[in-house]
Amino acid sequence: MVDERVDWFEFFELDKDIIGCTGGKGGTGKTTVAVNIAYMLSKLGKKVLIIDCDVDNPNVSILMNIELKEIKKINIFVPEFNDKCISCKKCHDVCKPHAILHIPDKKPLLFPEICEGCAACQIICPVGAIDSGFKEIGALLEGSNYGIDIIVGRLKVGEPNSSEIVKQEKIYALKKIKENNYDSIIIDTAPGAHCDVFYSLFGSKIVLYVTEPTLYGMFDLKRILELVKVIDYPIKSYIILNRSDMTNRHDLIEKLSEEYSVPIIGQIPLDKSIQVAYAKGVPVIEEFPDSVGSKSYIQIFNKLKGELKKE
Amino acid sequence: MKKITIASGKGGVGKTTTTATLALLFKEAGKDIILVDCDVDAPNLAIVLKCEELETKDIFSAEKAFLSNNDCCIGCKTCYEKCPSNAIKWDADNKHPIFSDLFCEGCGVCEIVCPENCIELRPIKTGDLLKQHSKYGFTVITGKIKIGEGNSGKIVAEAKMWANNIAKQESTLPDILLSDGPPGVGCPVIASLTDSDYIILLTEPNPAAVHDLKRVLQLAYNFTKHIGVIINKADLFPESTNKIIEFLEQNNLFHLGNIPLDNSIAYAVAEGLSVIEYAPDSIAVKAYRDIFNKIQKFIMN
Repeated sequence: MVDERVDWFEFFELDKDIIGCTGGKGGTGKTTVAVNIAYMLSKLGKKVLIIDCDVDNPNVSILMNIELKEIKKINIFVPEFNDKCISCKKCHDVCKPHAILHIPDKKPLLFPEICEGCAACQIICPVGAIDSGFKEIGALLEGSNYGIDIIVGRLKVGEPNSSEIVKQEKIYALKKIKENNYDSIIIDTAPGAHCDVFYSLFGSKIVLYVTEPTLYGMFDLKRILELVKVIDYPIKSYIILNRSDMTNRHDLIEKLSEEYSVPIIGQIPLDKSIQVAYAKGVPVIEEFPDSVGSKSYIQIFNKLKGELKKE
Repeated sequence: MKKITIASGKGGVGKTTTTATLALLFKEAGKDIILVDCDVDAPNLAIVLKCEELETKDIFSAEKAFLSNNDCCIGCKTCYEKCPSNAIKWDADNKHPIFSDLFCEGCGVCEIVCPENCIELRPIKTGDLLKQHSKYGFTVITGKIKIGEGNSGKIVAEAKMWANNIAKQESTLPDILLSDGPPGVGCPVIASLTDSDYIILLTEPNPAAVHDLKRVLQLAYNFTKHIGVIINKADLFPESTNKIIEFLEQNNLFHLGNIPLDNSIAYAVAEGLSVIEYAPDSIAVKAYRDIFNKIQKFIMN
């Protein structure tokens, strides 16, 4: 038996529809898809929560015209050196990111912006000369609109520890999901295929890869498909081909779809109404229900519905 | 050598396309250049520059914890309890820790707390650096992070350092070092902007892109006051574009110009070509030429 301590592993045990929106490349429409899928779920009578995990650039609230309220600051440990210090240099030696400067016969100096908060220095200190201080690296915020609740993690500009925000956000989300009995949870991720995206997607039962028919779209999609392969939990994966008529090179994405056995669930054409709704902060399906863009979203949603939990 | 870095905050607003296009325009103007792809998590710059690989280097920018030998572990569980990254699972049957590669951040706490000294940190490969030669006649250094790794800032820093060293070894120092930055406002963006003489930011006329532009500006100000902004897809929402231009004036930011919506850019990328080669007479290329002239003046002053 393996003892799993990380509490957000519990995400897997939730009997909910959890849909991750990712894609690899930036600006392919991840957030727009997340918001519109959430909107359609809400219209279906589901209680919906969006977790905006793009902590560098959290834009869900902008696309839904939501004024956010801060719920808590995210702080991490930083060492505070007290007068018991014997200048033994051990804290300096164990600090992997080199955030501690040793000054002979004096207390060490901390570069707080480099500190990652592991507390190795406090553990190694033989004389208890390191107290627990903290520094703010970001915040969790929330708000709602269209009957949809959102949680947002926001990294303080320039802080190195973005994954800590994602982790704390997921832990907070887990608590909120249990308390509020949501039916559907949508997770919006950052671009890329790095550890933040991995932590963000963790727990998703369905993953939507939003991409576009270009070489950039293809190469970045390949990286994120590789990343999700590492999660050893059954995940249903679908590609959404956004801006499908931007080029005629659908073959680029179709090849990957075959190679990774991830079907293309639908296409969304270039449509000015999507961009207008985006700029206004309204889901396109609310603003322009009869537009080509809305129709393609509804088509995708109807296919997706078959994969969701029945009432 | 002038060091120019392209960034944006938001992803997908045209950083890579702009970097590649400016590179070809610098070349056309007779400048000697070297390029760095700092978007190590989605390194796409070389795709449209017709690159041939010359050399690769493994990057070992992180360490991960390993049990140096199973017999030595006494099953005290201290490492499991103290790990700040929750990267250790406890195997209760065999009474020893299981280290998760993905979650371990290499802080070394487990190594310190192990009473039997059974745990060691070993360097692990986190990415590659590639030295490539573009058929257009310049060197491209690409950093590439291993999928799922964090800490891409270190790989960005290595890529930039290598490019600087290569530049210094050439008989004459290149005129321009041009870096294509990643999206975001975190560590890899700082590493990309560090040491830049000029920063070029891209945005689009929508609230999300402007929000992200303002966030990356908070970083950019720390590195140089020479910041220019390009508005991409500017004709999509002319009113919003005007508002951005107003914002730039109020904040003493240099408006380098606008790029109109032009599908030839997408078609060029789909074919793996630079838009200059694919559609030399397109409105996008014309806009880029105007912007390039402004950039040249911007750099001269």
